[in-house]
Amino acid sequence: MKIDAQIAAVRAAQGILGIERSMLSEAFVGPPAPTSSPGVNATKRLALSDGATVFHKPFSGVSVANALAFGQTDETPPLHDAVAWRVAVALGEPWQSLVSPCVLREHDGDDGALSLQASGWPGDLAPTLSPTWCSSAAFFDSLVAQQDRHADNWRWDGSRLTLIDHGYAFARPGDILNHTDLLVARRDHGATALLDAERRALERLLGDAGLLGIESLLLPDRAQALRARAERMLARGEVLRPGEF
Amino acid sequence: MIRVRFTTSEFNRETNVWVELPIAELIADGEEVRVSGPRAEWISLDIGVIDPENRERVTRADGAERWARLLPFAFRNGDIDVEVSEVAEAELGGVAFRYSTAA
Repeated sequence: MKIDAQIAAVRAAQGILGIERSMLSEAFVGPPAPTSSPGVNATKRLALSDGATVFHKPFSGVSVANALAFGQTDETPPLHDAVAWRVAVALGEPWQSLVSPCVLREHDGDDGALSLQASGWPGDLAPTLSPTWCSSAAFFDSLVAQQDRHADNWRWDGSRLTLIDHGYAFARPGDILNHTDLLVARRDHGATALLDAERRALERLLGDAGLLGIESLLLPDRAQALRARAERMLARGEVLRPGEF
Repeated sequence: MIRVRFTTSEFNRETNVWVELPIAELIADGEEVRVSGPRAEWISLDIGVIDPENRERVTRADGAERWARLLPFAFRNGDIDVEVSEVAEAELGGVAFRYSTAA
């Protein structure tokens, strides 16, 4: 694959946290859940022996037409799921708790992204109603250039927001935007200015030559776009505009 | 008329079998959209979907049936299973019953 080096770099980086070690080592139990919509990324719902439910998005199962429409490649969506989690880990809290953990792991001979099921339910607009809930997520989506954040791509359990599905992230300038609802909400609340913790996180990211290890996980043009977004956010002291990749 | 069924699954660790749980059923009929089911509120009618054929962003206002056919592309993480089918009016008789006893 064209992203072999990036996959190897993610594999070398993952496993530092307990949740990652569990997701990498726990056995799969039983068969995948039957699915009636295998055409979109062929994602499988699986059970792990520790009781967790996970979703396996294989590299071989990417919906190519859909990925290309977003400016992704036929390989990048599973990689970007895993890299978004690595960004959250690199930034630390509150972002680490905000993103659903994801590792690269094989299932049934297929390599792919394995994401942990988030608690809560989809479709709830509650996180958009207050800057308290949407700000950290909006910062994250702005930084990773999320292209499709709508209410069914987050989970809300009444007190906690979890961001899921980062296959269509790390966009480049000119790539398509479908939804970025949490970023729009933050801007609508007039809360575009970076918070101190956000500014410090960007300074830490840019202060490291390899972007805290993230640069090696992305294709070069996407890593460069990430660096440029971080620089713009820091220079302006604001989250970016929707679609400003 | 387009029918979109949204379901999820729960793993029964005693039987090692996945149990399908209904979420909602959406019917797009011409320009009209109806959603029913035990978790109908989980399904946002305001989602735009990128049509992979032409990169066009399609919303409900662009045509309910066209939009409904594209909905699987909005649910990619595997948590919600989305099944699209073309149906005739006569086939919708059992819909309410199917969801009336769901958890």
